[in-house]
Amino acid sequence: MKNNYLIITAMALALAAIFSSCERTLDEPPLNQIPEGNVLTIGDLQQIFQDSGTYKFTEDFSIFATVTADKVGGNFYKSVFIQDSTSALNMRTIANGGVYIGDRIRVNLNGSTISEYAELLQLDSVDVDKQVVIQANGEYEEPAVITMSQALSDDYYVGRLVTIEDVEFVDGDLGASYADVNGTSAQNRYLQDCSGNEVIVRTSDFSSFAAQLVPGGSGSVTAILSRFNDDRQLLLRRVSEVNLPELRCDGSTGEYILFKNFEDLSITSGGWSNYIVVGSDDWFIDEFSGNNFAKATNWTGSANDPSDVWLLSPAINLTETTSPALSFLSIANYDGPDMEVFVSTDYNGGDPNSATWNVLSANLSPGGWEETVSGTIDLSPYISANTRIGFRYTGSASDGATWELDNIAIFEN
Amino acid sequence: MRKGITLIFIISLVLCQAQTDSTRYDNPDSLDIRANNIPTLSLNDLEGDTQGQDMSGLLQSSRDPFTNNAGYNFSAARFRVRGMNSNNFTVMLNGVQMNDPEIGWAIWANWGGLNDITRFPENGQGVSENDYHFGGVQGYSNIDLRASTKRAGQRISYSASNRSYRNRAMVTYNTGLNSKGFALSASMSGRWGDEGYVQGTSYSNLSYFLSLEKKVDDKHTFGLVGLGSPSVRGRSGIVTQETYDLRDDNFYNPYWGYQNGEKRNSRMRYSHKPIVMLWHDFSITPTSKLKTNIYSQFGQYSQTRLNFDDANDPRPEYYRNLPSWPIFNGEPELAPALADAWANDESFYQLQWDNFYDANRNNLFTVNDADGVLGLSVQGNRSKYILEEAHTDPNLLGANFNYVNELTDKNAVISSGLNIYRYSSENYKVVNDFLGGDFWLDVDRFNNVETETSGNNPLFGENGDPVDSDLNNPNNVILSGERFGYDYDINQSEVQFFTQWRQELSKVDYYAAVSAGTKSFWRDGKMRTALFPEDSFGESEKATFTTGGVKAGLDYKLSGRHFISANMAYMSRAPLTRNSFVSPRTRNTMVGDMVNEKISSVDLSYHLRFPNIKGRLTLYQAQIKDQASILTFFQEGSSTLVNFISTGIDHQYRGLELGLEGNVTQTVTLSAAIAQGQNIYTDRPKVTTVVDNDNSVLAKEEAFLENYRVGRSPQTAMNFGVNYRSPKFWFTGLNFSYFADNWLEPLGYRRTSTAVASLVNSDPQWNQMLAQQQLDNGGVLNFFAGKSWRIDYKYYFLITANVSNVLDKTDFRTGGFEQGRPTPQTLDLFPNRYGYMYGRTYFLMVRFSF
Repeated sequence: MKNNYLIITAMALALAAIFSSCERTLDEPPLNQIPEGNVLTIGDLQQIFQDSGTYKFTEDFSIFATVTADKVGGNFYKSVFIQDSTSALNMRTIANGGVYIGDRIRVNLNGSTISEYAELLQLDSVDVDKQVVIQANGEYEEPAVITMSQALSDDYYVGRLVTIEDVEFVDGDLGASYADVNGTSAQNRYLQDCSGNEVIVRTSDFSSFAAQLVPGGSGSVTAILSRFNDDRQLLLRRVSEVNLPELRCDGSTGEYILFKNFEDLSITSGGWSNYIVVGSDDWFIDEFSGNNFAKATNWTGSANDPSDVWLLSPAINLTETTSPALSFLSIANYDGPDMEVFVSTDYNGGDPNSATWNVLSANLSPGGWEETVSGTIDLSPYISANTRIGFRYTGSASDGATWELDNIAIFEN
Repeated sequence: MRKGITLIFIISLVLCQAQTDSTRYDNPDSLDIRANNIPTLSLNDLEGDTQGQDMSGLLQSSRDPFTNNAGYNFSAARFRVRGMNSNNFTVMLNGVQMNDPEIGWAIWANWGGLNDITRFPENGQGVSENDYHFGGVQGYSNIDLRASTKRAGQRISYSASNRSYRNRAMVTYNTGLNSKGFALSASMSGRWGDEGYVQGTSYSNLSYFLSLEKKVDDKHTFGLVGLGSPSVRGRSGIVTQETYDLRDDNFYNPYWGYQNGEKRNSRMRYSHKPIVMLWHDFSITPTSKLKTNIYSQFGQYSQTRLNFDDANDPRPEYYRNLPSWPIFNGEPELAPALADAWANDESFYQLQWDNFYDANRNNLFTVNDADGVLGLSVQGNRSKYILEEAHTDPNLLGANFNYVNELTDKNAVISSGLNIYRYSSENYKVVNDFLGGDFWLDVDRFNNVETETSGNNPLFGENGDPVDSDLNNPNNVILSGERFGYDYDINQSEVQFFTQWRQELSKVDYYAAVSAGTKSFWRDGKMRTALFPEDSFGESEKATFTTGGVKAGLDYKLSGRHFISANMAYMSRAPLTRNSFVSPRTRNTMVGDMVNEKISSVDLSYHLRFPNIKGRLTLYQAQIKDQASILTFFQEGSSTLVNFISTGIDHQYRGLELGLEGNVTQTVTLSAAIAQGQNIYTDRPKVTTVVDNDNSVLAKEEAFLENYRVGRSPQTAMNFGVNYRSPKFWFTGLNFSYFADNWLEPLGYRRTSTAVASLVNSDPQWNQMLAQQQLDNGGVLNFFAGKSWRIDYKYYFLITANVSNVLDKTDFRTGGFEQGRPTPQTLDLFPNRYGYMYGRTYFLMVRFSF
């Protein structure tokens, strides 16, 4: 019996020993230094591209640079901008993120390609995990303060962080958001100086500030200066770098008395209404490329319906204003009568034909889905406590165009 | 005759020795996403990813001719008795229900390896009488842990296998009740292996059991039991057929990779949940007895997985790594290179641990205002890849009282039971391995309100925008041991009472029982999540459910050889906590309109008991109504993480079970077991799609599931066996099993009008979206043999061999799941995933008893 105890105890101990010995700590792989090779500058890369075109590095070369734009904010996806004292470029990464503004980095170029995309110098297919060493944080580059004409013509600044002063968003963009919410691409807005020189502000629909409306005033904007062929584009890093507190070149504030862009998917929100005088067609919300707008058509899919339908603004009190103005965007296609734009001071609902309407002269889309800004339409002759705008769509049994309407704005000009 | 009994005993031993762990397939859709922080990764583990072993008591040996022959053979195809979830099967230790309070079914891994102790449970099939517990409609199993019930002796065994583990060693020592009224039973078991049948699956387990018993006098006996089964296992995952084909391997496991030349698995499961019981048997009179059990379970359960930030999904099986992605994406020229990498480049199709270290070590990062302390700056290498460890650590304290009174004059027994427990689990994540980095930054990646940089902490919002996992602890730099991501307790308390009357008359035995209970549960959040600051920290409201049940049954003896039995039950059951909180990782919100499940069951059986032939034929029908489920997955259509809640799930299970065993000669036994069921949805569940980030409801509608099949088990299974028992103490046998009518569980979310809104019914995607996948039927051949020796009537020696799937069939699908992610346009990118039955495996054992 004693022996049995011993045997059992021995077995149990042996089992326990097997297990205590098989708890292994994992071996960590040795530190794998990313080789440095020869050091180049971004200017050297530009030279390499100019000399030999698209070039893929197959040996160890490194550049040292500072990150000036990153994924935070959503405007840059798998893409950052880096610059050194010689030049700047767009670094495309295979994963989104990994380096951030202010990171001082060393990039091993082996396996990456230097090329241009629409004339913007870029370094392609960078695997941050394997090619980038972050050497310091918080080394923020100061933006170069430049003028509009430098932005538009001086190649030195392309790819760099810049601040452009004394600019404002163009009239046609007032009331527009930076980009389309739920869209899938990017939108262009335009900044202008007081001489009317314009530069594009291009913003991804995925950016966190896509839905914000562009500010109306003037001031400075800090952004990455990019290019798309001959177009210069500003890429915003964060919306707080759009700093437009001053009055516009024309002395106005750029703020709205009324604004409607249909992004809430409602025709009637904000007191708007529609009224069918003839037919059964109506203004409705449609969407293209993530942007929502009002649309009217009398095409049934096989025929044209006689149609006369109005989109009517709420009553607007303009008595506090001195030179109110209207602007909107229109897009048209197919043959048919133009959309008409009216203003009234005595309309009180119901059939529009019960009121007095004055025709407003606007630049309208010539067709072919061409997006057209109406221009600034003066409303000062119609200052009242009950000013209303009406957009009238008409079509006949034999023809009828399709009209789209967006970014309707009334503002102090 | 003694020899015969011995042999049957041995054979049944062989069968249960050969139990495999039947791990459920992970359902990626059911993962809980928050556990993972990454939508793509998160697709891998929700509901199916439970604590492992959903092994019903069916696998236990039994004298029932159906169960005895179905048992091990059916488990290979993941057969479930009557097609039901195992939460309808009551598992008891010492008469105390041990089904997991959160999951509903019993986790056999909690006492895994203690086969010497758990080998001979008391079983009941379907609704039956049960002196300890009201029981579930699938049956019950009670494992007696009292030391005095273990046959005195010592036993040592060693086994070699190529299934989940390579080696098993067990020692057991039982004293039996000695003259001083003392008994001791002790057992220890080790199971280990660097790699099981599937590559990268390691196994390490050392289980222990100690039971002490002291009979004080004729009235009082006290006992203490302690057991546990600490284990660490490397897991395997199932993937799409495209992936298997690319690897030309139906057992491809994407979870492992080489680190410094050694295989390392990213999905390790740690489990150690010891159980302690203190019991007292009080014989109040010779015919009445009160058993009291005070019991507790505690410990740790955790699983690891990769988490990543600022990097691409490191999982090799990620859909964009498959050739179908560039083809779908209009770049078919890129597909051949991917196919080639899948065939030839191990660094492509397995994880690359060394790269994770390299990436983490070069990622210098400064966190300003770290841990919410203004001005505190932390600089170091921020891990982009970590191995995180998701915990569900239980804490259970309960008391069980069981009173049994024999009324000898009436040949009747009254039994009653009262069970009270309080349970809580701590659910949280910690970093298991920083993989070369210094820290992990705890920001909530699911929150896509990614805002502008402050210029200082690029990952944080400028105006305190909600990106922190815990507002009480912003900018949280996670160092070793710190909880991150989520942290909450699930609390639960339950009181159950039942009483049963049973009586034996000359022709009829019958019983009837009633039960009543109440259960409450609530969440206690330890973090204030940025998205739900008002509804995440602190205790939720308490949900309380009152339940009850009745059951009755009778055996009618036509003669001593033939009898008929019938049983019926109706009961209600409170919902499980895991089907009650919309997104427990982020908030207290509960599913609206929670109600009890209603379970009904009737069965009718004919039993045959001749000395040379035994049989049972059962017809049954059961219904479980008002079940609920929650799946969380990244939805391709809305590009967001959604919680997909189904309520009012009604199932009907109807079918027959047939078992037959007959001795053809003194040495040859033939047996058959057949289960044929029709398990269907009988109603349209109500389904609600809730966005994880903002609690907004995307859709509330019906799922058109009526008459779809209930999945997760073959509905037809049969086994035919022949056993030969030599009078010279050796035996051998063959079993052929055949499985049919196995369907993948249909996701309600894919059968809604919303899911097919963009289609007309002539589109091919219409059927692709709606049709339920049936798996191919198939069969498998198993073999066993053994021999025993008895030396000096004192020592006993046994060798057994068991070969499963003798013909090495490696293309038999035993299950899988539908992916929740796709829209009709992306169905081809997210096809079903399948799991396969292992090919030929063996289990060899030598055992020495004395």
